[in-house]
Amino acid sequence: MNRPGFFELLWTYVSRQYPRIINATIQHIQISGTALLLTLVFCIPLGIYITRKEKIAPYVIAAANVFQTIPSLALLGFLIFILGIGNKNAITALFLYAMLPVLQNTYLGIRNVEKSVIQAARGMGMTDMQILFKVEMPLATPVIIGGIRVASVWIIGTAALAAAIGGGGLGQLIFSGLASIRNEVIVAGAVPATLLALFADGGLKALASYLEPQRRAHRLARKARRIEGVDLSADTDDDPSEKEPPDGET
Amino acid sequence: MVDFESVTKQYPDGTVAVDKLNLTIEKGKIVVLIGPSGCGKTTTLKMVNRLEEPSRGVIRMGGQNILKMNPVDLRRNIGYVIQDTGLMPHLTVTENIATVPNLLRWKKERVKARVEELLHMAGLDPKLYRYRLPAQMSGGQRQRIGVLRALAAEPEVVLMDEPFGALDPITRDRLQGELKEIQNTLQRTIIFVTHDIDEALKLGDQIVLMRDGRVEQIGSPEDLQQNPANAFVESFIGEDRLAQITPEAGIDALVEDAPLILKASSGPEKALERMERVGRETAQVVGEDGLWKGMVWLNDIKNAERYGKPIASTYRTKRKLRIEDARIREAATLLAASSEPIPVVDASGRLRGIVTDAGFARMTIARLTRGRHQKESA
Repeated sequence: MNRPGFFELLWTYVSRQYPRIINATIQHIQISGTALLLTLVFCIPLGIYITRKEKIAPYVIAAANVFQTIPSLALLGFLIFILGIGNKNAITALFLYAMLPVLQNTYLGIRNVEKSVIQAARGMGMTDMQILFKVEMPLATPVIIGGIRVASVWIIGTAALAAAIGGGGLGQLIFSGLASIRNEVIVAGAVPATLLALFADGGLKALASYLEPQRRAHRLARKARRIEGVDLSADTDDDPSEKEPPDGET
Repeated sequence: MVDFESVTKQYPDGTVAVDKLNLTIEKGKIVVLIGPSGCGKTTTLKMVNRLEEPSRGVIRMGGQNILKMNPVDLRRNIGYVIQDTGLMPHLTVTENIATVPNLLRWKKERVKARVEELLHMAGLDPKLYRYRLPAQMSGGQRQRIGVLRALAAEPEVVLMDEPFGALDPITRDRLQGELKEIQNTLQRTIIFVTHDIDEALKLGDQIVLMRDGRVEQIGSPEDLQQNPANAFVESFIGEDRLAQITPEAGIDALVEDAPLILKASSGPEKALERMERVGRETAQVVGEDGLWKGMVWLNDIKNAERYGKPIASTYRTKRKLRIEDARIREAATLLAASSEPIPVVDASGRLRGIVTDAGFARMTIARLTRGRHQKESA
């Protein structure tokens, strides 16, 4: 009898073990999601803070850079001494590992907001908080989301290593596949992990484009037309925002 | 309306920007602050809405000491227009104009009606412009929106910091006319900073000529032209110089500060960013040694960035004037061929400034060419 082919093996494995794959995927999402959330909650405020303290900014970013430079597996190893094995260790490592892009992009995004815009905002009587939330944050959003995209892909990819220190997630499948030299098991873990990363990246990309000022202005115009009814529908074709080529954000 | 009582502004490094300034700005007038760069005109303006705090002295608005008011409330009651417009690039025209009314929590309907009213006043069809973004408009339109935004909450006092300085001469002229018209109906108190004497003479009900943080003369445009208080005023107004200027005169009088100077060491990205921020098509590049390297064009730098070349590859060095021996005739010829600014260097190769197709230079050159035409036709 012939040895069964790879796809046959994969099919058998998936059809029998799909609850395990689904479980591992959910765990993977939990681990990466927690790590990403931690990164955002910590790094966005920190990034904003260091735009106000230009002197310490290079040091903070350098510190985040150090964590990012340590190979992820080594970082997990170090953390065993502090946090032991398991998901807590993995989440901490992922958080440290993904700090840099979010921190750096928040910092750069806010710092690169045109000074004249901020001066005008202040001159019109916006408070510091209003300047932050109505001017700086919206203008830095595309850059910040760019950082989150990088961070989320790193986290989801690296989260597979969590299994190496006794954590859960799709890494378990990959590692057990490696240990038992069963390619179908490796693939059953690797493919969902890849898809997760692609989905996260694509979703964030779509979010960024949804938030683009151009698109938003478009939506506002459309909404106004709907509310104001037919009398304006006649000039749909005249709407300049639809004809104008997107000549770039400023 | 606004009174300065021996106001001094001294920076921590010891520079005195404004020196014991006494000035009364009348209600309903356009008062133009003018003077050479560094004379303290912008600092004076910014002290009114407390973007700068005076070191000594008192500023009153409508009799009240503004230093005792909450700066945020104060600013919401003062219109503010700046050169780079400072429009929020992520917000629509409507939202930009409505900024201050929204900060003051006006009702939605009132804000909406006010925005429509203002757009109509500026001759911008609300249907077309309501949902545009600043990036989808020309420089002139953007600055119109900037002015409307300042007027939105009907402030008694409006501050304008070189609002038309970045516009091309034709647009600038048109906007100056529009501002005059608006002012005829609205009668606000406008404090207007400029370095362009043409603009000051055209717009000002009153002109405050400053130098080194002090007032040299205050008066109507006619006063300044007919009874200049001293030689500085006379030369600044340029009446006297204008009469003496011939095509063979030196170009000193035409030279202005270069508005955008890049370092030779900066890469194309940095250069692009700065040029786009200031909205200039051209810039001058100066090396670490202080020597002029050349003039660069925005488009050339874009190409350089695309192909990864240094900005040095885009220097243009042929079109320039030497301050020691260039004649106004040459400047006029160069400007007639292309209206872009001409860099001015000295014998040692340092950048001295630029000659542009605007302000005093335009006036002078127009006068000279007109004179020539008359001779030719005679």
